[in-house]
Amino acid sequence: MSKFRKKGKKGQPPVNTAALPDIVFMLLFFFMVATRPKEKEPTNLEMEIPESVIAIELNKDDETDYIWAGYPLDGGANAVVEVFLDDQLEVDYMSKIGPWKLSQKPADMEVFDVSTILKIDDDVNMKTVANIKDALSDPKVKGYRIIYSTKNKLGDR
Amino acid sequence: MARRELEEINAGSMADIAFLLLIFFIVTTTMDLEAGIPKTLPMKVEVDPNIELPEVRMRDVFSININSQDQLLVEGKTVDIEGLEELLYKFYTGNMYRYEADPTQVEYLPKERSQVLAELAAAKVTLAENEESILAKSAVSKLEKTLKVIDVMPDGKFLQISEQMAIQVKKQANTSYGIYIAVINSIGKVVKQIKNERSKELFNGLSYDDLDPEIPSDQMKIDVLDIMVPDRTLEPPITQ
Repeated sequence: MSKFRKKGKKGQPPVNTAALPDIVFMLLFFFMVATRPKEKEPTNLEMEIPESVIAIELNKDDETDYIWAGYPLDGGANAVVEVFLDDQLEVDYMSKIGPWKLSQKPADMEVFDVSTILKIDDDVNMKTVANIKDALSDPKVKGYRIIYSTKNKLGDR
Repeated sequence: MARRELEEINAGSMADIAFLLLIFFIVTTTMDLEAGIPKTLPMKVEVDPNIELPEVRMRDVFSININSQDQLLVEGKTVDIEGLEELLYKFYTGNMYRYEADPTQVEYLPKERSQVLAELAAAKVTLAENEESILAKSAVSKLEKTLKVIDVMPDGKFLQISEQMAIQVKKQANTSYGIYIAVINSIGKVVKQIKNERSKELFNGLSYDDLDPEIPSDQMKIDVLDIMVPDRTLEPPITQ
């Protein structure tokens, strides 16, 4: 009987994992191409972005700046609106927007070419929004292009 | 020389490295694209007090008032957002196909090719006399736009919306941003709907949504529709 016994160790042959890196690299490249880096965002703002059906999707390579406005999460009833330029809280935002816009601009572009995305909670009052727009359209700043960030409402076209 | 046999490189840890990178990318990036309503803010200009501004007729202005309790007053009526869309649609289409069909809505003026061409020639002469004049420049560009639309009209005639036409959105300091965006959204929706209708009539059933700005002939159609259905929005300073 020993004639038929296999030589060496018994057991199944090992699974060939040589293709595993290929698969993982494929996934990796997919994610590198299909996603964009997360923008810097404030963490403790209540953010309920309004909905719209006429929103336009932005090109992910466009140069943009972000202004956030909303009530702080732990603010309670007497909370005041907080305005963030990128992830920086500015109390005196009206005078800070201009210099911030100018310093953010890439060297080969005009301020006009960089749109400002306004991420504003739907409970914020229009006074704050008007102040932000006023500061942006200052003739010394020329940040005329804005985008009201909205969620796409589907099914109502 | 005897060739040494190449030793096989151990690629077992390659997968680990790739996984590490993959997970890094999944965590630090986001899939959803940014979406929003693009607007261009008006330029601040000093108005010469000596310039006489043309008188504005109330029939050419569609007025929307939003108070601090987020209630809407549209053309003197308290309505909800659906009512606003209905009224705005009526405002645009009242006289769109027949001259003065509804004298309470915005006026449309009949334009004809020969008359526009004559006016354009006259405007160009004025511009040549005074090349710096902003008024002369804008007169020429307005007439050129009208001509562009007449070119695609089958009978060479065109009812053009009054130059004074505007949608006025008045807000108060405590009006919420949510209702403001809802109003902007409704205006955009109605304007798009009218552009779709006009596009289907003029371009063999092709809708405005299907036009691709990358294709030059489509871009031309988009330009024409944008001239036919303008959405001039005025935003007066907010009141307390």
